[in-house]
Amino acid sequence: MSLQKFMNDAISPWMRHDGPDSDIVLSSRIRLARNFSSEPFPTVAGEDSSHRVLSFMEDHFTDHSFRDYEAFQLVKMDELEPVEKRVLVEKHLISPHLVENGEHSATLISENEQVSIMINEEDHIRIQLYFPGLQLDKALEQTSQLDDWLEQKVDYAFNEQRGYLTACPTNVGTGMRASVMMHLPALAMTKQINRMTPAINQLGLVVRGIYGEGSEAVGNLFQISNQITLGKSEEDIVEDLHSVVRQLIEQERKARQTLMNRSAVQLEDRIYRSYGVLKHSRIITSKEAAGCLSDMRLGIDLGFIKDIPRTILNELMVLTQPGFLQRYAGESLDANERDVKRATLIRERIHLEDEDV
Amino acid sequence: MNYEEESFSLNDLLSGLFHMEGSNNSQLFKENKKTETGLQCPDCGLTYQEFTRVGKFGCATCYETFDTRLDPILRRVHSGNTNHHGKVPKRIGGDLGVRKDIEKYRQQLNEHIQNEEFEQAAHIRDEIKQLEEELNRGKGGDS
Repeated sequence: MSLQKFMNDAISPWMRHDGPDSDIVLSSRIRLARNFSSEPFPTVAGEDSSHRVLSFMEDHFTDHSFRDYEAFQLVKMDELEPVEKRVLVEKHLISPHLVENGEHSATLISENEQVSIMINEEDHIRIQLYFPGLQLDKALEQTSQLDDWLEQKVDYAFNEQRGYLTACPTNVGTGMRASVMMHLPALAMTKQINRMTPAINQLGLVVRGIYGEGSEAVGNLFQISNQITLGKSEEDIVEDLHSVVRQLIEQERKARQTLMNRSAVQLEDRIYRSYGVLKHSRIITSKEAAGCLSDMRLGIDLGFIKDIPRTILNELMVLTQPGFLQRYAGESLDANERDVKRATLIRERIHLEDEDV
Repeated sequence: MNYEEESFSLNDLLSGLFHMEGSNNSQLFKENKKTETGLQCPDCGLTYQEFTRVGKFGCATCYETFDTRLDPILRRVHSGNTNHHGKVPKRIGGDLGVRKDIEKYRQQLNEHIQNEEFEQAAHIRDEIKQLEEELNRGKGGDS
């Protein structure tokens, strides 16, 4: 079963390519929420209705391809083991909410895992598309084309005044959430990010950690996205987000330069200590691992550490999540066993790079 | 990726609005409140009260059923906005896309006239004329 493909690699094929400003921006994502006009939203829908929506999507879009995206494969939630669902969540291919919805939920995943079309999430359809680096315009353009492609078959819930109708009033209008994943170690180290967050919020944008709301920024990874979906065009929303992200990139580069000028040895020491921990530890918690991985990645960006690819941060951040660890171990692990397994995996992965040299 | 907290705060907001209105003493307002909170969606059966509790709509028709109550909610969630200004679906949107384009061009036309950029204004006027003809042709075809 080719489902295994989605499970085996921690990073998706599209992540292997560098995008613009990849030293700081890991990925850009556009998500569109859409609903069938003729069916109740998944929030209240009964079995029959959910089944109709899923069957419709299955019949019309499974194994079809769109432009450069090769055939979409349908992955049904009720056919997956709990650990497999967890792995897809950790890879950000599906949302935790889709898993909770259970029986009639599914997702159409493109071959290169760049596109995932979730079915019966909070809305009937959630299209999400990723691009490496900062490429919001391109991501918007292609998501919109995918949306047009779906709309040839699906009668969308839409009205002239309110736009695309969604289950939650926070998504109505464009139904669009644009987000950018950024690695901001220098702004975090100097605590500047805390001062910037309120200003960013004022512009109708939100800053959060990668694994959910309120979570602290694990591994200094921050997700910036639009809060407002109504009253502005998709292009304007993306432009506003883009300009804030551009400023953050400038500030992060400046902060890195300042750290290098003022305390290069301390910075180098910190990076190599973290590198040492990752290379040699036998027990490591996910929090410590994330911090060390962030330092190592900064070390790669600043040229201290050579011969290790940047993507190792993305890869190991995902690989060391509980779901992936258990898949690798082939059995369920308690927290202590996970910390041991995590350390082993990281050591092996880094060793692999050293050998390549 | 996780929108739990968003909907939670929205619940608070909705019930906040709800109770605020409940505390209003005017007789007229009370009557209004009574009839409006009795609202129930004919398609999915969701009542306005359930909507304020859960913070989620049940179907597309809910937007029409609760229409008179939505503006203050949307305004708070979307920084004062209540109307959509973005994409229009190609197929079911019909000529709405063209009408929105005309609207946008008219605004540009006014700006150009105010800035005394008459050459650009003339160009945009032609565009509008062309779109309007397109609209009329479409209507002719339907009848």
